[in-house]
Amino acid sequence: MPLVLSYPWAMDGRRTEGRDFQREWDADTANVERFQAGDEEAFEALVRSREREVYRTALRILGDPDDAMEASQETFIRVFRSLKAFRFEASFKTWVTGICINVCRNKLASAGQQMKRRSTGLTREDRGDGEELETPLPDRSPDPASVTLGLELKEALQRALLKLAPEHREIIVLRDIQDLDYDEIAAVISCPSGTVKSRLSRARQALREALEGIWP
Amino acid sequence: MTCEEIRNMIDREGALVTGDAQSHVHDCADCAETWRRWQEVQRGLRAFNEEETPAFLHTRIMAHVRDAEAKETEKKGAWLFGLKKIWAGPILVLFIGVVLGGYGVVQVFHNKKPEAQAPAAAQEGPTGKAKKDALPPKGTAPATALEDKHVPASQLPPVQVETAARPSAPSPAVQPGVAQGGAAPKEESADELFAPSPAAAGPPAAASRETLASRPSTQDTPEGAVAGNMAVRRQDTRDEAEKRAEPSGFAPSPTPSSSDDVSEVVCTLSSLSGSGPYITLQLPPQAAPPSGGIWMLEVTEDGGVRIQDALGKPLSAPVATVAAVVRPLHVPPGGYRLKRIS
Repeated sequence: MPLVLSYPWAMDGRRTEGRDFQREWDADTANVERFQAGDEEAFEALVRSREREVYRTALRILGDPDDAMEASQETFIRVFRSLKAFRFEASFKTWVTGICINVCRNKLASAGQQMKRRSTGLTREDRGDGEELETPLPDRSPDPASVTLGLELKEALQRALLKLAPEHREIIVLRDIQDLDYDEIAAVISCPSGTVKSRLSRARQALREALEGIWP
Repeated sequence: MTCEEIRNMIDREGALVTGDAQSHVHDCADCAETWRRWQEVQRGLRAFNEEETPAFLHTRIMAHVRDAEAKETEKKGAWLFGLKKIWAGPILVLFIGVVLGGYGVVQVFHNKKPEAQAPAAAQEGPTGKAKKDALPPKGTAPATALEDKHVPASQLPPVQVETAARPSAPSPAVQPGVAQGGAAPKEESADELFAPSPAAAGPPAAASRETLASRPSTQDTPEGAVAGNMAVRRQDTRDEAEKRAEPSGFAPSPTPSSSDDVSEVVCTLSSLSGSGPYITLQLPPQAAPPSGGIWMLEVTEDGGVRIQDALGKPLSAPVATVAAVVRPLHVPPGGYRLKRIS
């Protein structure tokens, strides 16, 4: 369901922190058009404008700086190969974020496969209500004792995020970290806005539960 | 509003979006604590978006993109090269097959076309009675049977008269009943050998039992060329038949063969120069050389005929009969070889 966004960063009360989103949008559009016209230097400007968001999104979803770097590189390789066919059915930012999410999903799936190969006993967890959770990512966070002894909120949040199911984690990242609105998120993860809202509610509840015992 | 509804609102909206919710949080310590914790979580999450990115992030991304594109280009080139390498052999084999197949098809057409046109050419030549006369008599095989089947000369059906030389004159100058075929002479032209004369337009003589698988004089046309080719092939066939009938070569058979019992024998009349007409005749056994033998004929300017055997001994007995057969053919004066092939 292609979603045409007239103004992806419509000023709906969300924080702008001095950024001129309309100007960013116009600059992205101009650079995309330049690239499609054959000016490959425009691609560098596009990377420069979106690389940090892409890296941070990947880092929060994957939880590892090296994996995030690889995902960022892979994302922009895909952008480079597909940008000629970009038709502005969504904003460039939304499009790039969608590619980044897909890359991260692939890496998580690959990591899950590798983990299954290493440990045959690790399967999907049963939450008790009949619903299975995805295989948890390897826990790279500090041990709970050190967290409860006063570790910063940031590290506690990262650990809690890594405990979430991937679809919950990515929707928290898109909404509460990247500050995308519901329509943008729906365009990124290719699902209806209603699904975005319900999934976001479940993701926040899961995050709150994951923080209990870690962050006082 | 209940505490459960407040928590659901925080999870769903991330904010207290109604006045009822705000007043409930103001009055409820547990919900106030929940709301405070959520606000801190939100600040922590948003702080993630202000994190420093690794140094040289842009450089590394761009380097990776360029490297990947270079590899992609190289991979495409390698794929194309590999494709060429893989297909080089089959393409070469296919090419050779096409060339050889095409050559074979051309050869088949080249060989079949004259055969297919020979009967038509034979029918196109004489007209009317002459055409009827051109047909071999009942019980005899057509001339083509002689060409296509390698039968011994003694088993060849009787053929009246057939000339294989190429006449130069067009149809009106062709004497009805005389075969006009095609092998072009090597040294003398057929025009010289068969120069049309006023008498040539006349009816055939009484000796013209000779009938012909005659063809029109159309050497200048494709059909004529085809007929010429046919005549060459016929001559080759006859030469083979002669070789089979004449194993001892030029020397005549010392004793008459039993074929003298038959009423007619087949002979060939060919110019001693090797380039003159090649005519097939049917002669009575008494007026023909012995089986496999050869006589020398000399046609004089006045149309007379002199005959010598292979040893040069003049023969007088068959002169009248042979002259009666040869004269209507209007062969040019000169030396000829009369060979019996059946």
